[in-house]
Amino acid sequence: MYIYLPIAEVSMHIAVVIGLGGGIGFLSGMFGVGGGFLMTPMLIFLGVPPAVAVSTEANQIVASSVSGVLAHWRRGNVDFKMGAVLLTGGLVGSSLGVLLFSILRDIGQIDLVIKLSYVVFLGIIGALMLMESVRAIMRTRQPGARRSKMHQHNWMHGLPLKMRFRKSKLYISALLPFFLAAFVGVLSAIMGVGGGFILVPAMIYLLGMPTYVVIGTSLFQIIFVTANITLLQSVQTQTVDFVLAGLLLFGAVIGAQFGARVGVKLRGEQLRGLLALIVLMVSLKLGFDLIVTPEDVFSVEILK
Amino acid sequence: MISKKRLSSLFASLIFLWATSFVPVSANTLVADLSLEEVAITTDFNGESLLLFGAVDNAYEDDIIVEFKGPALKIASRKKEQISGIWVNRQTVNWRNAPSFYHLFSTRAIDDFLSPEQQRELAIGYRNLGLRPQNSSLPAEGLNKWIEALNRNMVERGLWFQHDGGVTINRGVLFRAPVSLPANILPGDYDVRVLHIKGGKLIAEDRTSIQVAKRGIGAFIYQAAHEYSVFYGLFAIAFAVLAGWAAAAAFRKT
Repeated sequence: MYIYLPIAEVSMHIAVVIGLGGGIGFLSGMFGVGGGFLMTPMLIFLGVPPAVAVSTEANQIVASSVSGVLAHWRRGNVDFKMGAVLLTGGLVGSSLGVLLFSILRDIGQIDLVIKLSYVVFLGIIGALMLMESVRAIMRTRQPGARRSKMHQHNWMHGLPLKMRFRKSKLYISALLPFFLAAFVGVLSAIMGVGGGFILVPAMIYLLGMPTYVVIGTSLFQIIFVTANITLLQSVQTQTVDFVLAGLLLFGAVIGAQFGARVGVKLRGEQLRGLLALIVLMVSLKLGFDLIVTPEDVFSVEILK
Repeated sequence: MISKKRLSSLFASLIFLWATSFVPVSANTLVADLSLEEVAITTDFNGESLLLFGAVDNAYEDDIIVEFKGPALKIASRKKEQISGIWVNRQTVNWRNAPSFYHLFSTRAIDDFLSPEQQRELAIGYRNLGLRPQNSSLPAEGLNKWIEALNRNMVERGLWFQHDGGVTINRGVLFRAPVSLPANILPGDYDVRVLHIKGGKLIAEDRTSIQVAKRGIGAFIYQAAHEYSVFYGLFAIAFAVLAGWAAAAAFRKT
């Protein structure tokens, strides 16, 4: 049965849409990631206009982050004060990102910028994750080796506007999480992702937050950032397709349950290694698209 | 804008009627109609097939051309160039009057019974649509390259199409042309022109039109998104929050 998506203005088989949601939901449940970085390129690949893919995915991430944050909240693993600083930055960044997105779309460079962002950021994160997990797998084979100092003092600790984050056991400048979240917010708006794949490692290694509060806190702020993108894109470009978002979500919710069950059977470093490989593959595929000579150097876009 | 355009086309057709009323009455008549009055884009829309049919006088040895033309929208062509190894859109042509849909059907290859000049006079074929860029003024040769590229890109999307042999004439009187509208068709007014060609000359013509419109829940959602965009956005967020909460609650128990 085909369904005509009212905002995307494309007709897709309903099984394809729900299956896509389910497949990516499975991976996100297994690895504990949002999955936006897989969903958005897949939607574009299936013929959904890039603007609709990015805005709709933001809408879907609102839902998946809400459902994810509840469990962390219950366990008390959300640093709301840190979350508030992050989401302030995130709101500023994502608003800028939405603006940047529409400018790039008008001058015909949005496809390029989306692909380049994926290649650069997924490439870096994927490579780092892969190295880290290989090292972790090696380390388990030779017990006794311990990680060296994690928390180092450098120029970042000399910044003004210092704030105490009790839950994160930190006393750092609020500018640090603010600008970090603003930067990720811009990427969220352009790439159609929650940004957890950058935010989580940055919160651990850059801010020095304890790992147990990181995921809950990042999910908490992603809700607001993606809600902001959903609202701004709704008003400015009318590209949020909530029928598409709803169908993807339906598949993703079910897929994530099965994924989580498979995930617990695998070891942490194996999971991270596998995720790193997927991330790198997406990055390489999009990078390849940019380099390989196109079949036709001319393309057409119906702007309406 | 639209009403102005409509008014001017109405005016033009009135002049046409007035002018043709002075031409000696010929026996050549052509009547065409479509099997549907409207194409409704509903939730389960996946393209639509319809039939253009009609009657013509003494067309045993003659040819018929059917032109199915969609609304002119903002269409941009872009050309990629390689910059330090990466393919980047470098040039853009915004078309002023390119139809978003252009299907041409004929009894046989049009070049076999109309010369390029005759095709130009009758404004038949994508080369004779008078396509002009909005912004830059390209030299004629460059423009042709862009028009050919536009045709290639639109044909690939199924929006432009030329079907030689797409019209069949039965016993010299009845003709029919099956038309299939793809799923990526855009709403608007579609104009149909039917031409009866004898010995390189146009001897009868008929026009009709059909509206492609969104209908049902999809139309309602589209309208809500465009006219009440703030509420739509807030609703989409509320829907997502509720759905996320419901999903978490549903799977917590199991």
